[in-house]
Parts: sequence; C-alpha cells; structure tokens
Amino acid sequence: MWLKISPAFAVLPGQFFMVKCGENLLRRPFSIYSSEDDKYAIVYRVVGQGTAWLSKRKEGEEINILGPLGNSFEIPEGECNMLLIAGGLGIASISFLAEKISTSVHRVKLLYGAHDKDCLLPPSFLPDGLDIEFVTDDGSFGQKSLVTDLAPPYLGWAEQIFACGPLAMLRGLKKVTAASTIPIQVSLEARMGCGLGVCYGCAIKTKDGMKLVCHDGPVFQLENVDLESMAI
Amino acid sequence: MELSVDLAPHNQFHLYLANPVMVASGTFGYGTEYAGLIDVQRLGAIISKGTTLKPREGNPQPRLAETPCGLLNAIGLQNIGVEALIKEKAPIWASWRVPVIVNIAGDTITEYAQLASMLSGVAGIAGLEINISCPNVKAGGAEFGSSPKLAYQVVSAVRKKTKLPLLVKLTPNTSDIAQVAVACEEAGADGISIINTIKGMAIDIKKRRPLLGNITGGLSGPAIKPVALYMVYEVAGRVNIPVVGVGGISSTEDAIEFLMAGATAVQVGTANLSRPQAALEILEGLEEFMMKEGLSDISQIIGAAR
Repeated sequence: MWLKISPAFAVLPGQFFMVKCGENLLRRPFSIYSSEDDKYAIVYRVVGQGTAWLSKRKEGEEINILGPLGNSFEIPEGECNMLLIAGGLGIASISFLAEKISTSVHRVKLLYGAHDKDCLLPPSFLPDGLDIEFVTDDGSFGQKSLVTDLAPPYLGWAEQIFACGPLAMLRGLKKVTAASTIPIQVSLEARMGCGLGVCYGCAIKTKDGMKLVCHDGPVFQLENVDLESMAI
Repeated sequence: MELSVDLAPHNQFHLYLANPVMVASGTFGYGTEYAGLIDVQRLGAIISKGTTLKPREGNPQPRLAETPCGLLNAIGLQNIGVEALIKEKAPIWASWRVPVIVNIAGDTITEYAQLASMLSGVAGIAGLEINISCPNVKAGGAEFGSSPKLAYQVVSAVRKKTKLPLLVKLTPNTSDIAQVAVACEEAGADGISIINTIKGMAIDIKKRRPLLGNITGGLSGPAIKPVALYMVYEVAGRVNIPVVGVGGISSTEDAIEFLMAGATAVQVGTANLSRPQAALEILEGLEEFMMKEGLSDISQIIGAAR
C-alpha cells in the first residue's frame, strides 16, 4: 500500500509507521518498504481485524499514521559483502534496505523465504538487479527449505548480515551462525501498544538490559538479543 | 474561564492543577517520551510510570492483547527503579510547570514507606499516587487494595513518611471499593484515583494457551468506562476528599461524564497509546463545552449529575 504524505520527510530502512486501523484501539506497526518523493509504501497481509480494515481502503482515502518511528539498519561505509535474509513480511524492511545499498560499492545477496508462493513478494516488487534466492516452506516457489538453511554457504563470504523475519527464523539464524563472528543486525517484530516507548508492551531482554523494540529498536545486534524473552 | 482544581485541599502543600485533565500511570512513560510530540506542559498533571524500589524487568511476553473496545496488559511494572527516577527524571520535571505525580508500588508495606521517604522533598515531584491496585504482580499490588484494613496500613505508613499530596489508586477487583476508599481517607490520603484495570484474560485458541505471558492481565480502554464511572459516582458520595476518575476515558464527553459523576479531575490512559494528543484534545473539548454551556468555572460541572 502506497501512502502519500506531504510534505515529504526522510525515512530509513528499518523504520516503521504505526497505522490507525479503523476503530481498533491500538495502532498496528508496519515496516517501511519503500519511499519515493512524498510517497511511502508498507506491505501487509490480512491476518486480523486491523489488516482486514486496511485491505478495504480505497485509493485516495485518508488514513492516520504516526511515524517514521524507530532506529534503522546501519550500512557499513566501506566496501563490504552483505548477506540479507528475509522471512515472510520481513521482506519489507530488507527490500528497503537493499534499495538503499549501493551495489557499486557493496556486494549484496538476498535470501528470501516465506511459507508459500502466495506469501512471497514477486521479484518485480523487489529492487532491480538484486541477486536473490527464493525458498518456501512448501516448495511452491524456489527451493523447499527454511531460509536460514541457505545461509551457511555464505558465512565465509559475508562480512555483514541483515535479517528480518519471524521469531522462528531469528532462532534458526542464531543457530546456523553460532560459530561465526559476522555482525548480524536484525529488525525485530513485536506486539506494540504505542510505538513510542510509553507502554512497555514490546520489551525484550538484551545483554544491555531490558529494551523496547519500538523505541530502542526495532534494529538490534542479534548477539545482544535474548530471543527466549520474545514472543509474537 | 476557571479550569483549575485542587487535588489535595486538606494538605498544607495542596496539589493545584491548571486543569483537570491528567494522563494515567503506565500510559505516558515518564512524560519525557511524548515531550517532543505534544505540549505536555498543558496537561493538568502527569502520572509517571509505576515505580518500585529496585528496577523491575516486568512480565514475560506477550504483554498486550487487544480485546473488543479494550486492551489487556500484563506489563508487570517494568520500571527503572526509584533511584534512577530521582536521578534521571526528576531534574527534568523540576524544569516543567506541569506537576508530575509519581506512581509508587511495593511488595510490602515497608517498601511503600521507603519509596515515600525517598521521594519526599525531591524537586520535580508534586505528589505521589500509591498504587495498591496493579493486577499484574504477584506480591503486593492489588492485594493491598482489596482489603480496607491493608489499604489503611499502606496509606498510613506512607503518610508517616511524607507530607507530599497523596492519591491512592484503587482496584475495581474488590467487593466494596467505597469501603477501601473510606479506609484510605481515614489513613490520610488526599485523594482517590478510581479505577485501575479490571483483571481479565484472553486465550489463543490455536495454541490452546492463555494469550498473555502472565496468563492474566488488566483490562483498560473504553470497555471499562461504565464500570469506572459507576465506581467514581459511588465513592464520590462516600468520601470527603477529591476523587480522580480513570478508566477508558477517550473523549471530552467521557471526561465530562466523570466530572459530573463527582470526579474532581480525570486521567486519560489507554487512549494515549494510539493518540498521544488525546488528553490535550479532551482538554480543548472541555473548554469548548464550557463555553457553549455558558459555564465559567469547572466546579459548575464537578458533581453536576449527583
């Protein structure tokens, strides 16, 4: 869904909007998937009342959003081999990140998995010229595999990993990268109440103490996050 | 137009608010989070996040579940602890003109008393709200608020340690909230905040498990407004100290209902989460209402429906 918001403002990959979805009491968080001038895109799948309401909006209708919120992925300055890993709707922030990475300076590989073909964003929705490997849990598109199982061959090559996806994927990623020292930035998904750090609904445990996904994140170093303290 | 109210008329220090619209504990952080977004100085008062002696990590995830017109939360009093609050937050509040009231919670009566004595005399702290109503912690919390005798003991222990204006926030999870309120008044409370959340739960039917990590949570939001309103009406008729209405207030009309039921002031809670400007909009609406009705003083509304 594209949102036109004037005047335009800068957004960074990893940041999100809190969207008021009709009469639902709480806003819903959506990662920013792309931006162009004063237009900003989010990606959603109908999973509950909020997204069902969103799916019924027609072109030109006004909706109420708060944002951009949260921190962002940090792209290393020097030349670097980057491995991007996206699971499900985690593709939104990862695709936006890929859009912002200069392929003339960096080499980028994207591993992108989803439950099935219908849950994947088609290649035409992803940045041009990006080297992508697709997988699905049921094999309906690309290999039948977990996206994290594709990672090991790249661990000798990658100098920086960026990932966004469901908790199970992050746990898998932690496992397959356990012996590696590559820095891994992850954008976390969480149930949020406010998006602004007041309600403490999205708190997680980290090596630096309790952190709020909305306010201190959503991007964290994977090694710092206690994934066991998370639930979606 | 006179909008100011005094939440502690029997206290030598008083607790004057420029207007009766406050923000409720746990829905506005430490006030600093929203300070860049809205003019927090225009609020009647800010009630801080519930504060304990030691920092607390709170409850396991998930901590939130939206229900029809309501929100279940089981945050579990995650907070930075009283020492960090005094060091990091109070100096900021001291430079604000909006009064900040610190919500305090203890596991034992001694802890409440200790908190009160530590916060007493700290610049930037205008009063305390004693939380004897949190449904999401094992020790203390709502246990103290469900019995008039225990409530009396907590409030008098705190009263002995501080001259600060004292509100006591009560739980609706008790058989007679008015009796508890009367006990708090006798123990020296300056005002009563009614209500904290109503204990509830939700179940994930696919996982066949309670949805919240803590199993139970506290229900807030518009769903609880009629319950809160009734309790305010009931208690305001039984005590001679100000009652502060809290519970599902999301619109100006809601706030006026509470004032008319006998509340001297109101706290906006869950509405702050999706609309940071909710309390300020309610305040503006209140001014408009008074203008339209030809009223010059907020006291003309307070208790008007009694």
